[in-house]
This record gives sequence, structure tokens and C-alpha cells, in this order.
Amino acid sequence: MATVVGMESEFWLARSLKQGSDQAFEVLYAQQYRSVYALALRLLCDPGTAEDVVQEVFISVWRGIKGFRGEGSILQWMHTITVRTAIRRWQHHPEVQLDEEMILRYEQTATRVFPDIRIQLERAIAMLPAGARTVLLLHDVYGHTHSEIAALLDVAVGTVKAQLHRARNLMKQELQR
Amino acid sequence: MSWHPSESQLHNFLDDELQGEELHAVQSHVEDCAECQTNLASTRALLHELKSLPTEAQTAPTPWNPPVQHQLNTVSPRFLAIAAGAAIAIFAAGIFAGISMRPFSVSRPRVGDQGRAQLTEEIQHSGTQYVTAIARWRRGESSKVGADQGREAALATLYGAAYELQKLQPEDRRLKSIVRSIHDLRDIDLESKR
Repeated sequence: MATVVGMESEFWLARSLKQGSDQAFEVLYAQQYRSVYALALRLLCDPGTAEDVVQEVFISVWRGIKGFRGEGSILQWMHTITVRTAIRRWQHHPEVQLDEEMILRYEQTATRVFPDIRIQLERAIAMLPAGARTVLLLHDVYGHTHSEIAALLDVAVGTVKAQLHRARNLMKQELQR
Repeated sequence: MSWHPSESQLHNFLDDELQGEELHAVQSHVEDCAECQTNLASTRALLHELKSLPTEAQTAPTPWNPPVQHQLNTVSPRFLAIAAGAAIAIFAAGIFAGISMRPFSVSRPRVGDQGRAQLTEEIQHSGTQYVTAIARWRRGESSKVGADQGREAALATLYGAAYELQKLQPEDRRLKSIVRSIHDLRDIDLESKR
């Protein structure tokens, strides 16, 4: 029942957003900010850039809501935008590689943002190569399927699986240290 | 035990991605292989931890600033191409005009030097105005209409000055090509507004 209510309210939210309701947008922002920020922070491991990406994501949603066809949930659609925005950041700033100092800074933020987390786990995720990190987060943390991730990243399902298996093996090695 | 499933097969097994004979083979093997059971158990534990990670930040949202018009305007690739192309053309024209003012022109009439200096300054000035008009619009400091007008005026001056400079140095093929590029930019700019 909760799911039906959730779907129904999402339907009305999407409809109001498409009609250009500022109020609906504020509701969406209040509902989804924390989720989008969490994903952006874990993908980019940089609090400042993650906040910028969140703003970009919501601007993209505002601008592109008319093109939202409702084939998945709004959150799923926002995850897609978040990942694509993060990838654009990596492409435009390829020099940004995570060093020890950045990871420490990320850990401090993560401890504040995600109370009661296992910091070793967050650290191991942060240390993964960007592609492997993206796939692992989307599949194992956020529950997207292989084919959804393949479509989102515009790669073959086999590539997604290979990246995922690699990410898990790297995680296990890092956590066993 | 001689055969073990690959790492990939074990991950696929955990993700319910195996079917038919492959599934049967891996399942039968795992039941009897302590090594693979340990491997699977550690991956299962990892997946359990990953699935239990919070997916929402506990921090309060930063205040939402509704995007101002300039952020909502779609910046078309064509517009970006115009901006990038113009910047390159302006830079090239400025550099080239600067090069053409080197001492080899000492033998030329003084009036020509002054003319070139003025035109060079005009090219650099209008080039800066062109790029500034785009930057101000992107930052939301001017309306799109205002930015369009500023850009058009700067491009017209830029074209005029580059054209005049080319007349002073008709033998110069590089300058001729730069003038042609600026002319093309004007065409693209006009086309993009239709």
C-alpha cells in the first residue's frame, strides 16, 4: 500500500513539476537533496564539488522535467543525471586524482554526513578507480540492475559486470589489509 | 579439486545471473569446496555491508537558490562553438596583428604603422568585449537580449577592423584566413538566431 501511495504521490509530483510549479520543485528538493548529495559525495569524494553537482542536478531537473517520461522513478532519473554530471566533471578535470589528503578530508565529511558508518568501508569505496566505484555504488549500494547501469553509462552489460566484479575484489583486498 | 569456478562466475552466482548448466556446475562445486565457500562468504558479507550503507546524507539541504534565467537558458553546442571559435579567431588576429607590427615594417610608411596599431587595438578591444558579453550573460549579469546586442556589436567591430587590417596587408594569407573565420562566425551567429 505504501508503495502505491508513494507511486501516486510521485505521479502528482511529476505532473506538478511539468506544469512548472515552484512549490513542487521545493518539495522535490527537500525530498531528494539528501539522496542526491549522498551519491554525489560518494562518487566524487569531494564535499565542495559534490554540492556543486547537486545544484547542477536540480537545475538539470528543472530544465528537463518536461522530458521525463516516467518510465522509472524520479529518484532513478536523478541518479542518472547525478552520475552523468559526475562523469562530465571527471572528463573536464581529469587531473583530479584522489590523494591521501583528499581521502582524509572525505572521511571527515563522510563521518559527519553519514553517522554510524564504517569508515573503512567508505574509505575502500573512495579508493576504487572512478569507473569501478560508480558501478559498485549503483549496483551494490543503490540497487540498480546491470542493464540499467549499462544504459546509464552507455556501455555493454558485460562491461558493467566486469567493472563490478573488479570493484568487489579490490574492496575485499583493501578491507583485508 | 582440479576445477574451480572463476571469480566472475562466483560473482554472477551471487547475483543470480547464472543459468542452466553453468549454474548447476557452480552450485554443485560450491557445495563441496571449502575454498569457494569461504570466498563466497566473504563476498556475501561485503555485499551485506554495502547494502546496509545509508543512501541519504544526514545533513540538512543547503538552501535552494532557484536558478536565475541565465542558468536555465540552454547553451547550445553551436553557441559554445561560436564563443570558442571567436575567442580563437580574436586571439589569432590579435597575435597576428602584433606580429605584423614588428620592425620589418620599418620601411613601410609611418601612417600604415599607426593604422595597424589602431586596428590591432580595436581588434583586441572588440575581442574582449565579445568574450565579456558572453561571460556576463553566463554569470547572469546581463539579459540575453543585452548580451546578444553586445556580442553582435563587438563582432561587427571585430570584423570591420580585421577587414581593414587585411587591406593594409593584402599579401598576408594568414590574416585573410582569420578574416574569413570571423566572417563565418557572423554567419553562424545570425543562423543560430533564426
